[in-house]
Amino acid sequence: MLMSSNMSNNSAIKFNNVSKKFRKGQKLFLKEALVDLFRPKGKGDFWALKDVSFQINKGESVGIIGTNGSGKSTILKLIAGVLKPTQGKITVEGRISPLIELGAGFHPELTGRENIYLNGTILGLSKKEIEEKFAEIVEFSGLGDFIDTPIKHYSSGMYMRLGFSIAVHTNPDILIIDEILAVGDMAFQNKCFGKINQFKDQGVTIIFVSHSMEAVRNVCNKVLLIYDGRLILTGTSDKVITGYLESINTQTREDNKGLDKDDLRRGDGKAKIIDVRTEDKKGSKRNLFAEEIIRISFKVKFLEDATDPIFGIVIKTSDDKVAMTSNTHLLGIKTGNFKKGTEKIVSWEFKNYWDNGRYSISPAVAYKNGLNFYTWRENSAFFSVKKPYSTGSLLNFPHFINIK
Amino acid sequence: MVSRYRDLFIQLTLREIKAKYKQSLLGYAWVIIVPLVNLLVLSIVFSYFFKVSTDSIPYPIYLFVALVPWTFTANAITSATGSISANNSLITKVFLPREIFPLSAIAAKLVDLILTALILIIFLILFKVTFFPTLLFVPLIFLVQLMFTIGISFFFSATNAFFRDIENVLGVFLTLWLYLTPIIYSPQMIPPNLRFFLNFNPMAGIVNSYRDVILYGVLPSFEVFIPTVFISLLFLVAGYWYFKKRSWYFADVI
Ligand SMILES: Nc1ncnc2c1ncn2[C@@H]1O[C@H](COP(=O)(O)OP(=O)(O)OP(=O)(O)O)[C@@H](O)[C@H]1O
Ligand SMILES: [Mg+2]
Repeated sequence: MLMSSNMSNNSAIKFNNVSKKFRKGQKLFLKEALVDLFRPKGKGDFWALKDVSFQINKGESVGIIGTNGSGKSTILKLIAGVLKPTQGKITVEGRISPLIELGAGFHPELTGRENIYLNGTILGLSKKEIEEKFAEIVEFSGLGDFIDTPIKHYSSGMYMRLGFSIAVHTNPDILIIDEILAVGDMAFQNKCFGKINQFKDQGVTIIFVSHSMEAVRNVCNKVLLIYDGRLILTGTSDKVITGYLESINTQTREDNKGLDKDDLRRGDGKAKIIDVRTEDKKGSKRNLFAEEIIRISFKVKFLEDATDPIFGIVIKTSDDKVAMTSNTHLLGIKTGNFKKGTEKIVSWEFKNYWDNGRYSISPAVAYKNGLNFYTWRENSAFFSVKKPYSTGSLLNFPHFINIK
Repeated sequence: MVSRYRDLFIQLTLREIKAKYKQSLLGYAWVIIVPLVNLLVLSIVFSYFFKVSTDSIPYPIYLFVALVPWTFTANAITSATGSISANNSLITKVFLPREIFPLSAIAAKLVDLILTALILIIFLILFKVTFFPTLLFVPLIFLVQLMFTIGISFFFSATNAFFRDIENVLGVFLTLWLYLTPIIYSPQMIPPNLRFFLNFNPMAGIVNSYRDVILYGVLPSFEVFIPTVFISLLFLVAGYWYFKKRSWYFADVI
């Protein structure tokens, strides 16, 4: 894991135009590989990363954010040396502790004690080093007497505690953390963040991947935003996180699949969405639309004072694809200030260009920073579209065919 | 660097050994029971019904001297072949020289070999087989066997990472191979015009050499041993080269 090269500057990790190609659909059986022979070349290839360049200096704490499947873990695996880039060059200097998965290599039949030795050597400690740190590791994990129990009897939180405790005792130069702290309880999470901050003070380079913007803001001073395998924004945490939230609607969809949870409320509840409805142009309630104008409206009641909140909706098809997202922030509308107790009706109006089907509406009211929600009701209303013919696609709009 | 991977190699090998010992009630007793049952069945079938003649040597001994090393190679190959897919969570998360996985799988099988070899020694004593000074050559033959076993394990484990078919056909392949190797029968029973093909099967040269030095007190003949050494070495070098090349893509596919 020690990769040294003579880099004169203080760069710890450097990506030069790195691209990574996977083959979609793993061919684990010969049969499929044979079928593949007859397919056009390059079909099924998939670029998980495209032309990514960045540099992380020693001692920096860098966050990587982006939607599910955007390529974050792929970047970490390339840094860890587990994957090889298809194109481009990667330079890494220093001992890496890859916390891509805690307890990688744990064996369920073995006890916590035996697994400390196993996992410790996997992460690059010698037997002697583990012996020296053993007590400290057990102490940090807080597992106490459970250390001599086979880990198949551990809860997922205990498993994680043990994995994290071993990993942070490896004295890395570069610490890679991929979305792993989620299972621990609050006390242990705080302990982990404490340890991460301690590493920061010691000048350890930290690469941190998380879907929690709060955690990223706490740990990192620089953030990379990955979208669809491309690095689209780099900069201070504030700048990049705000940029990311412009596409937040698309991302929240991933977190909450399924139309059945009709009344899913989220947010801190400082505002309430009361009445979500669909209407025609004249304002009468309506759930079935053909070609005509659709109007969607909701009533929002503020239970606290609010400054410049964002109002938004996401419309999704019955198979959970986003048909439209819209919010006041995207349209550059300043909404103004609202006193506690105010009620407002927010409405959208547009021509129905969609094809036949059932659509759901998820309205939300968010803070100005877009990070936190006053309220957000997943799939709180539905409407249907029925037109003379179906195009079998998402869209169905008036058009002409000429024959001359 | 080297010491770090040495510790890791030891830990991974210990993991295999301990896990096996903990998982089943009888644990390591199976290591002895299985070959003994094999030995018993094969001895009855081939000495009693098929009357394989082995001159002055009692058939069970003749068989066991070859069956013990064969079982080691067959089990080591089987275990090594699955080692890459079995360790996928490690391979996709931590950078390690990947050859450590098949190698530790093979090393764990050494415990089995030692146990069965002890049984073999007991048998040799019970059947009052003379201990010849040529026994000193056993480690040398074993070294050749190990080279061959490691080499072929490299081929199978690397290919199995891409095509799981290997794991499925391995059992059939090993059974066929067992019957194509003079283990339950003697090489003299092969028609002389076909004996030439044994040169391409290093396991034939290896078990014959074991019999020569253990049972007959003679050195293995040069024209058998030299090609065996050569082919085994070739397997080791080519297998390692192939494994190394393939190993860059393990994390992409498993
Ligand atoms: N070994 C592989 N073979 C084929 N495709 C892969 C492989 N590994 C990752 N991918 C694909 O590459 C893309 C990026 O995956 P990656 O795991 O890097 O996403 P991520 O940003 O970490 O997502 P998440 O937030 O869900 O963890 C995904 O579309 C994924 O399906
Ligand atoms: Mg990921």
